[in-house]
Amino acid sequence: MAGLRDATADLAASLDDLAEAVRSASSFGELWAAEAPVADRLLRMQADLFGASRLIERYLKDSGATLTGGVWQVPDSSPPLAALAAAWESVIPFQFETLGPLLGSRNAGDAEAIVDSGAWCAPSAALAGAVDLLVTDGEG
Amino acid sequence: MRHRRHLHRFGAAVLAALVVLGAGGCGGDTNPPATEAVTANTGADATAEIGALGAVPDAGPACRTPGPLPADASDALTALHGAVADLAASAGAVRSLALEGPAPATWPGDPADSLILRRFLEDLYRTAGSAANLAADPEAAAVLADAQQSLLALQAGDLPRLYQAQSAEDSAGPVAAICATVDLFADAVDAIGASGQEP
Repeated sequence: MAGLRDATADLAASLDDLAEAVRSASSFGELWAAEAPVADRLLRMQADLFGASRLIERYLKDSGATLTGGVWQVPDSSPPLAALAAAWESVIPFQFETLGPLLGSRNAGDAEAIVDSGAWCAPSAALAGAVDLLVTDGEG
Repeated sequence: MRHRRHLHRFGAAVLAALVVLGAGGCGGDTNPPATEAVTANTGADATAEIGALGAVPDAGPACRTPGPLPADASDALTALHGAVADLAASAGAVRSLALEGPAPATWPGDPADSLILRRFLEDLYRTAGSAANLAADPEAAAVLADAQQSLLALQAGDLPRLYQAQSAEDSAGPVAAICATVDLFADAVDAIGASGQEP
């Protein structure tokens, strides 16, 4: 549980840092995100995101949930586990619907609009919400 | 998906979190340097952890895997070696899906396909973390730097193109770039092992 809480904080911090780097980027050529400081922060954010994903997966399995065909089955009596599963499921849509368009941006306005949108913080917010439910329900 | 019954409550919790976070960011605190943070998310047991999670289809490796580890390999090199081997396997699964399966445009919508992509991305970023600050020998360091630059180009250009691919033809370039990146990491592992000068 402490690991999930720490992962939430790390992910939120790395999302914030990457957003800051995007806002300060001066050029938006084809591989602009492969240049420092965006590149380093992007790598770190992704490492934090997929590190959190692995922690969630381990927690769910340890809690009796099962993963079949990419879909979680969690016990009906555990809304916090359902929230964790939803946080886990949100990772890949974030890649397609938020990060992909960001990396494909070719101007500052488009890029900043993405990192300033609610979707940008969705992965850490989803995990934070699930951890709060775990605490409230005494599962932590 | 039985858990969806509970998502009203979850949605309220997320909404509350977003309200608290406000427009000032995601609520993150001051960060350590990037290299430290990436390294902190990896470890010598990472290979076993990912292996235990399973679910990577046995599509066969599409890319080169590293040669045998030296007998005296460090934990860090062992972790990178395992990460690259896993990466080659998961890249093979993505290749099969992109080039031989249904239209890749269906990827995000199909949970099983998303799981294949997730395993590849997990392995990719675990590799990036394991590779941080590993090579001391200048020649090995140069190979590793090439691999890391290739990963960045993959992330910044090829993966977004892969996500938007509408056909196997559209996917061919990004899939080739994926394999080229894996090959470079395999080269780097071999170069580090051969140099005997890893930290």
